Amino acid sequence: MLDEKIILKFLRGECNEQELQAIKSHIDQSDEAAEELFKLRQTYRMLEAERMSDAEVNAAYNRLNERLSQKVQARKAEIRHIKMRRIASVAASIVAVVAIGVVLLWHRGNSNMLVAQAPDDSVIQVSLIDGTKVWLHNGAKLRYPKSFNNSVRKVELQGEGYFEVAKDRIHPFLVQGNSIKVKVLGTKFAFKATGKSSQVNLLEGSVEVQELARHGMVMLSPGQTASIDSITGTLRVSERQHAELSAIWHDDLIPFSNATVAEIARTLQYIYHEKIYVADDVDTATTYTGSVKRKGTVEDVLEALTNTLPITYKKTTNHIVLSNK
Amino acid sequence: MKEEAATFQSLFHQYYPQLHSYVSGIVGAGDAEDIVEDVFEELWSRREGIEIGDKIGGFLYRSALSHSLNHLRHKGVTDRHVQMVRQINEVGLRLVDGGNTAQDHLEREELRATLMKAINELPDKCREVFKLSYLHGMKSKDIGDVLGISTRTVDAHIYTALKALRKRLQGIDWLFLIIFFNFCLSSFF
Repeated sequence: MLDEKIILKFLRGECNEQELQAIKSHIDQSDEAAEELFKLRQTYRMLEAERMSDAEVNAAYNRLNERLSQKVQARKAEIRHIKMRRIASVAASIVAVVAIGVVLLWHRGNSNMLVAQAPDDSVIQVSLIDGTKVWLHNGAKLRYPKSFNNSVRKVELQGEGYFEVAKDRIHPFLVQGNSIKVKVLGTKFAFKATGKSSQVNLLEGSVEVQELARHGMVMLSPGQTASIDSITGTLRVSERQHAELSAIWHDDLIPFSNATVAEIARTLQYIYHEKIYVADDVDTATTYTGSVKRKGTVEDVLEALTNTLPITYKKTTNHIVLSNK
Repeated sequence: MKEEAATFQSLFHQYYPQLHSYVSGIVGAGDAEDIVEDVFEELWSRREGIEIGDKIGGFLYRSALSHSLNHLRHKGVTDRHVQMVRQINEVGLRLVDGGNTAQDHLEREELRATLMKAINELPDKCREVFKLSYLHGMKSKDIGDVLGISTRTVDAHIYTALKALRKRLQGIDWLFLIIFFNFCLSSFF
């Protein structure tokens, strides 16, 4: 005869191997003994089922429906994915050929490398032999060759850097970070490569950003930002507002090109986190092109701007108002 | 299509609670929800090849057993353990599980009333223990603490109650068969 405790454990699904063995021996005795036990479990099941609320059942039903509809969507996505994969496999083989070439070149030119590193709290500028200028800050480290002997101008970056690459159509310029590389012909861009993520902000020209692990690749236009999560390898492109400001740390100059007073106000608001309103009487056609030195306070910058623009400013406790002079 | 979905929904409502209990009895309480949903997902994807008739219960219970065993394998339970669970439950499927029960014949409210009546007819101590366990979901040890009796005695009471309820419910099954049989005879003549 089975112990009641074991029977209850059996009903609740809590038996260990030894107890299961006891159950098995019991039901192996005769079908009658087995039927008795399974009928008892059936009764227990009925009681449990009765105790379950309608809300619980409905919730489970909704979860299942959710799952089924996700599956239908996944099927659709898979069909799209197969088409994309054909294109990607052709692209990947091209990338592989280029990558092998790059590795060979890299090994040949390895002997004459230099390293520049910025101190933690200041910005340094490095001039490369081809005329390219690189600004580094916050401990960023650049590895670059004394001379570019190869068909590719390649450097390595850790941390945050800003590049003004000298134009040379025959010798592409390549920056490699932890998880991505950026290929350019002649352009201005900011590149930040930390352990977890890498980010490329393009200011001028065009660049090709390639994620190294999965060979994902995007072309950026000015104002766009490519972000790469180093762990998942996800490559994302976004249009960032004020992308042009991603590198003002390198020269402390705020760049404006054909900016209206309203646009200038928005930019300063972004940099200084102060609310700036533009009064109705300000001429909307007036624009400004040039760079303004970033200063300690927003008033200092506005003071400089009043020399060239027909505006005046007034500061109250919570905000600043720009109006016609 | 609409009719198909409606049938599926009513099957879900009828079988989800009992399958949940069945699967909990095989894999333990925590993982039952997902597994039962897998079972219904399978039913939905195979709906064209399955006839929804008397055998649907058998199909669902068999599917629930195989999903549960897979789950145990993935969970890293020993082969020997999984084999034993399989052998035991195969016997259950052959003799009892997935067959029609009083649950399938009675409306939910009716069944609930029958159960409550049967519980109230249990001997005093046994009823008290069973209500705490079943209606209040208390663990045997806690019931023992509250009533000042040993866990072993608590388990014995619960077992006695289950046996008594089983007899009552099986009585309903028989009663239903007799009514059904009479109905067949009367419509035949």
